[in-house]
Amino acid sequence: MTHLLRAALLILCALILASCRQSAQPMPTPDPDIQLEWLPADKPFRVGLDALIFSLKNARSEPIRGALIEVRGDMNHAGMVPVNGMAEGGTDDGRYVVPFEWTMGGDWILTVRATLPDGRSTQRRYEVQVRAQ
Amino acid sequence: MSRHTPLYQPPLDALRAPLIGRLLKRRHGRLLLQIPLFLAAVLLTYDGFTGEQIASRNLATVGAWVHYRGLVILALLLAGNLFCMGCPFTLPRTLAKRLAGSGKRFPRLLRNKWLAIGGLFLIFWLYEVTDMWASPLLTAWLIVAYFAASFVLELIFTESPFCKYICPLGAFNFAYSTLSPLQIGVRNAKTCQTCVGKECINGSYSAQPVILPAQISERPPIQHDRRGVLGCGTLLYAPQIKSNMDCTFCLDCVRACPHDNVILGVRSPARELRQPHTLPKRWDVNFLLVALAFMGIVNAFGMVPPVYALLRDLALALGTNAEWLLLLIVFFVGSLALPALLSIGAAWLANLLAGKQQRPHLLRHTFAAFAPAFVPIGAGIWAAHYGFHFIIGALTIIPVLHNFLLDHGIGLFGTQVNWQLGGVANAEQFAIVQVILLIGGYFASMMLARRIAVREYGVARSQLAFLPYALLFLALLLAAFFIFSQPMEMRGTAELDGLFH
Repeated sequence: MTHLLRAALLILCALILASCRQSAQPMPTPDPDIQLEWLPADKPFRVGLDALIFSLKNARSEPIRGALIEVRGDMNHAGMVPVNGMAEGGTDDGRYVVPFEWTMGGDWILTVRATLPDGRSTQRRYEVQVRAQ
Repeated sequence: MSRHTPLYQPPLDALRAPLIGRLLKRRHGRLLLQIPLFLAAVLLTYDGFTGEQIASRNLATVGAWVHYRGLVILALLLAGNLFCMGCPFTLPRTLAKRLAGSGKRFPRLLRNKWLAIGGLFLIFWLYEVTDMWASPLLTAWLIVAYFAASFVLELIFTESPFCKYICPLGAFNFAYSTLSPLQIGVRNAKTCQTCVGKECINGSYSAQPVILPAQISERPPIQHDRRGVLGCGTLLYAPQIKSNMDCTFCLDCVRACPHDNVILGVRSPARELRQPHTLPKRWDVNFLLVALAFMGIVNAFGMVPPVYALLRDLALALGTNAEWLLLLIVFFVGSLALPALLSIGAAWLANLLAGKQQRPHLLRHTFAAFAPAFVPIGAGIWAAHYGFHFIIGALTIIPVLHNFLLDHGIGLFGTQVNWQLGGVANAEQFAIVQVILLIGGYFASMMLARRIAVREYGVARSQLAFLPYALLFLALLLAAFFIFSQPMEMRGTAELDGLFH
């Protein structure tokens, strides 16, 4: 009986810990007033330097300027250092060009976060395949 | 030689090392390694189930696929089967053993390495087909499955069947611990001849079987205890151990011996591979050694661009783009069919060229005689692959752990995670080490095969018998060079149909 109680207590602790952790919280629901879109080039992605273009518009499809776009690229294999990129300000038509280096071929997970000048933000995630050759 | 010099010099006993030796020999000495590894396994499982499902940001995937794999090969080459010694999966196993009492023996038909070979094949195939490296959740389930399997099997059977016959990780460790510089042995063989209880294999009812003179007093030094001390879980008899195969380094035999006669001897690495009759002449045991070298090639092949071309050609030829099926074919051919065909073919050719065909079972004998020569080249391939992941990602565990702590509101180490911590060397620098490992393994295999050929066929005919193996090792080396010279490409989330565009 004591063993059962101990086991139950341990499981309870684990559940409390799990529910407390931040990354367990779901990704924030995208703000319907912010349209963040990635405009990938037609050619396949290859290892090396690249420029990732994002479009940022409001609900009325008007370009948003002055925002900050942050990109984090994680490889889908453990043990790889993530790659970061960012762009600030944007062009008149709401485009943001983020310099970014694909450091290795394979599958990448891009997490893109846009923070508007008024502090609102939105986040999107993309899966990308990059060719080594 | 001096009259006083004994003919037999027992090897240096690693357990006589100050502090560490004494700690390991203690009743619960194994827990020194098991508790940290058990806690690590719990942490990995917890993060795998509850953490962010990005492999490079989760302890489950970083711990299992970067650190465990890298450190296991390093430990095998530098010391011995330390990961079986500290295996956390044996903790529930020990509990099951106590609960079950004396269970029945594992079915005779399955008392071999075929299940382990099948398990290795299955795990490598599943690793590719489910992109396990990319999934913390699947990695966590794998750890849970290991705990469950070891517990249930120990509950039903005696003789630790999970360790000896099933565990794929154990099979890998057993195979490459044949290269290790440590091995269980005895201080004095005569002591074992007169030993009545054979506690090293049978276990002891006493919690402290060794009687130290200093402890002898009016009070009896032996306190019988219902828990006693376990004997060898895999049923190895210490004075007869010639190989590390099947030895989990649990040191139960050391603790159980009432004569303090069992040692962890220091030997020259790979000694057992050079000597005849150290491994049984069984197809299963020897095929494990051969297949693992080929599995090393296939496992690395799954991560380089030419695998796309092969899968595409195969998909077009078979008219299917079911990835599981295409990978199953590639893995079956590369990991099982090809090693069987080539190694049996080489044995047949060696016999044919050397002209030694008069004895029965000759093919099996030749196959078994040369199988140990596949160990060094196999170890070189695995070390080059796993070492690569470990070297370029060793420090990534720091930000991942830091992030894990912050995730739970523990800000002891600051609130800024340094995600830029990566490897201890870059990929280009490690390429030199990879070349050294591959060539070193190749030459060690060649020397071993040459020595075996001389032993089996005599100096005059040895060259001809050696020739098929020399060609086979050269082919393995070239295949490894081809794969490791390719840029790495982590295939995974993208679907196979993307290949046809």
